[in-house]
Amino acid sequence: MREDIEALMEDGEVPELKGGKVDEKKVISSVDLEEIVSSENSFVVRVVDVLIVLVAITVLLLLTGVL
Amino acid sequence: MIIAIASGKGGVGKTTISVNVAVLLSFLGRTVVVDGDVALPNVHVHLNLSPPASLPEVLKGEASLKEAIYELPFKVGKKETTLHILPSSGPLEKIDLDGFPEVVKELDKDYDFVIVDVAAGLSKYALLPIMASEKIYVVVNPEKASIEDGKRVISVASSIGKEVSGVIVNRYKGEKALAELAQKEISENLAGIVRESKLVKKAWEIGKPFVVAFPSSAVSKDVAKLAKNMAGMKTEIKKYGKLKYFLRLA
Repeated sequence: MREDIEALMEDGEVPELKGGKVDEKKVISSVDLEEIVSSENSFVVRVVDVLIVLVAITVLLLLTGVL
Repeated sequence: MIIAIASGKGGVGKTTISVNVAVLLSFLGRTVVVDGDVALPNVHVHLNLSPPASLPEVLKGEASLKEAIYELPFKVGKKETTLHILPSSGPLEKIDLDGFPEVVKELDKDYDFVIVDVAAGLSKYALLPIMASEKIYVVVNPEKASIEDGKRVISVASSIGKEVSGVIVNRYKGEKALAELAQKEISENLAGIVRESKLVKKAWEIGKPFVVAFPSSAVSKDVAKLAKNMAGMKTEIKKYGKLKYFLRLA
């Protein structure tokens, strides 16, 4: 693997590295991304989620013979 | 900020992650997705684009950067955004990537987030985009083989004096131990866990990112957390078990 990389470097000019520094100030908006993705139909989705969980629990209880 | 999304092997969902994360990051700042996988480009397929000019034409000097960048408006939930794309579609031929770092640096002047979808594996197609990036994230699936493959990115990065910024576990179905293994083997920083979901495939079929097609889905929320971490807004990523995944409690 190392050889491959070295051969590659010899192939052409090595581009200048930026050194991995991150400018956090570049983030210009303070929008909450989690809020954006949950803003549509979140109530409906929650109800569906609850129903699925209830059905799953009922099936589980039926299978184990509790009900 | 130039962010590389890499993987040790293809097929782990790297392009899906790149495109969806980019859509959400575009709410935080000007964002462009670059299809750095010039040998096997995929970004344009995910977005249903047939671009007349793309990255290979720019590298060959046949098109300007402006001509090869496409502006796509998206609506996520109730909010609208614009994402820019530099695709890589084109005829299958050997493309000289030497000019790639310059292209990315040029984009970095105009954009807050430059997301580079890197080719999988160890080749010049993977190395040059990684060299040009400030942050490198490795996408793996919760499988031992995939984590082992992901370690190759660490070798590539360290050989050029770079460090992997974080690991992303994609198609997660509650494999807690494997997520921990990915953290141990690839990066302590678990940047995100993106669950397995049928909606990903459905969105792909209609040619839309899943965060746009299904914004309120659990998988979209996973990507929102990942995007926040990438933007430097620390968000806790919880590793949950198979029962929580099955019952959709996570």
